[in-house]
Amino acid sequence: MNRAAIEELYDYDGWAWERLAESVQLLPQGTFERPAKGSGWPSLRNVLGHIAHGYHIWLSRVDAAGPPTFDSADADWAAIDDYYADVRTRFRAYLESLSDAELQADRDVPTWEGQVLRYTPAEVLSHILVHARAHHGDLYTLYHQLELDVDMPLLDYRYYVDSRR
Amino acid sequence: MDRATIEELFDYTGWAWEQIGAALAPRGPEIITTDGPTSGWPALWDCLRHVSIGYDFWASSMDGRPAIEFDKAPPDWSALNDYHQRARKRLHERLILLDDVALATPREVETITGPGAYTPAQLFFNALWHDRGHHGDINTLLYQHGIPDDNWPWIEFRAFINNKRGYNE
Repeated sequence: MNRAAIEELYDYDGWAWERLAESVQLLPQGTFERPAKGSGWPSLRNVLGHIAHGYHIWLSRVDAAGPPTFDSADADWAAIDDYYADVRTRFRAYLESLSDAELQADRDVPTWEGQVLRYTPAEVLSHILVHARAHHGDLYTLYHQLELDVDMPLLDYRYYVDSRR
Repeated sequence: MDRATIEELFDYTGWAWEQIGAALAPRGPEIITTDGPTSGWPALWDCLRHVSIGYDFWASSMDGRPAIEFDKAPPDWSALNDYHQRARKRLHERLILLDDVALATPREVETITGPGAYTPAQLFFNALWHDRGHHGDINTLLYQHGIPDDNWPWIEFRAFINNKRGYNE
């Protein structure tokens, strides 16, 4: 993806998170942390923490900011929301630090178990944003499994387009 | 979104669909139709069909022809895959027909929430992003069927890049 596409998806992901934040704050106390029967996550907290952690994990592999320091396992919504804001700021700073040529230039990126593969920063940043999108499906499932009276927000891209007009 | 990004998302979602099919094939036909405990879909068939209908709906919306007849198809992977591929092909053919100016020119279209003005580029991306948004549902359903996560299709965007680059991670 080029810079414009990454920036638009970055903006989309922030918009989607804001919609989720509005919804989460309407939930009855304890719902955010409550495990859903039949869910592997098992709670909304785990999915939202995982989305934010996805930013941190992959940014740490390209911007040399160090290993993860936040554990969302016992965090409340406010802490996860702050964490998300922090990693988003890091994402923006890293993207802006790169020229267009650097954004599309291969570099060594550590992956798992000491393996190093060649990726462009654009590929890593795209991966972070595409990763977040997949977990919207898990959230829809959890809203159903938790039998919530609060609707899961509609996060289709065209609603984002509408919101930016 | 520009043409190159849309084409990349077409490639990515097509590759991901193939991985999903390959992961489901050894499980037998009932994996598609068996309801997941506590799932709202409730079966993989319903979720995968919904993803495919998304392509069909937006292709029909853009080319003005009726959606593909599908409701009478049997609930199995072969029929679903055939429908999915035809709907995506139809949408992609529309992309090829449009030049870059037309791709970025807003037009009025009917949606499930009423008429709206969108560029074709926005609608193509919407259909592809909709597909990606349901990958999490698919993994959740596989979990509910008791399939361990190391047998789930690895359909992260990075795995797609690995495939293009020839990496075997």
